[in-house]
Amino acid sequence: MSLIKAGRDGIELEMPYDDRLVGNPETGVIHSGAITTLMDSCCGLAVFTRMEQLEACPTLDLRIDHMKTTEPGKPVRAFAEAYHITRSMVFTRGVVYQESRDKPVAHAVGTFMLLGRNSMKSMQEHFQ
Amino acid sequence: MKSEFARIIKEARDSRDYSILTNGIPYASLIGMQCTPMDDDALFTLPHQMSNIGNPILPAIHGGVIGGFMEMSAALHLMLFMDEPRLPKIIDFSIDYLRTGQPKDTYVQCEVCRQGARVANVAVTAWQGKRELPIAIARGHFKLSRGSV
Repeated sequence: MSLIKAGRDGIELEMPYDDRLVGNPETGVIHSGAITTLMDSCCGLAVFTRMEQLEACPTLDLRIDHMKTTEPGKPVRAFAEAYHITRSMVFTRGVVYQESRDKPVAHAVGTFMLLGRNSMKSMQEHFQ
Repeated sequence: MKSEFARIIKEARDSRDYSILTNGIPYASLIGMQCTPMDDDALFTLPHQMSNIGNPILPAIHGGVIGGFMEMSAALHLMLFMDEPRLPKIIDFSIDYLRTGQPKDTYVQCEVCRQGARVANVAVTAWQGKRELPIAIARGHFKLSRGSV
């Protein structure tokens, strides 16, 4: 996975096509689980775009609607935004697409919890 | 539809050797999941492996991998236990994360809440230590191929 764009309005990620992600060996279509991982990451990163301070933010729930199967051999892109934030929750939504963002193959909605600034202390110490 | 994949599903159902199914699907092999028969049911196992870790500091299994494992388990459960072998295609999947996925083996069991002519609804429970303390629960809808594969 690679980061394409990051801003206050959202996050864009790209996942290249990889034979190891295939769910149907007959068609070469990647498994929906790979899309779930991509969207969990993308929605999770979108949470950071709206944070005032660095906090841990575990996923509370994630729902994915699969509207179309992805086309094999082509990369998959994801865009996610945090559309509402409260003191303890962040609500995110996103789309998965290949050709263009207005032709999505999947939709996602994810809710994340904010655990407070102390939750990142041990992580920051680890990185320093 | 008479395909190589359909043959693998049939063979797994008949022999109750489910490894031919998990070995035949690249994504299942990538995350390292296994499937063992249990009476009229199957137990899905995701053995701990470092490449499934999403947060290296806690450490914790990536939420997306837990979700992918649950989705794959639900699809395999349908392929193995429907009245006749049919191909499930995912429509939607909704995961509730209840506890952190610790770096150890994770287990999944599925329950088909309803299997209609076109659509199946599957409930999935994932746990690590005790089944009564699930790390995640999920439910998904799958569209079913017409007729036996």
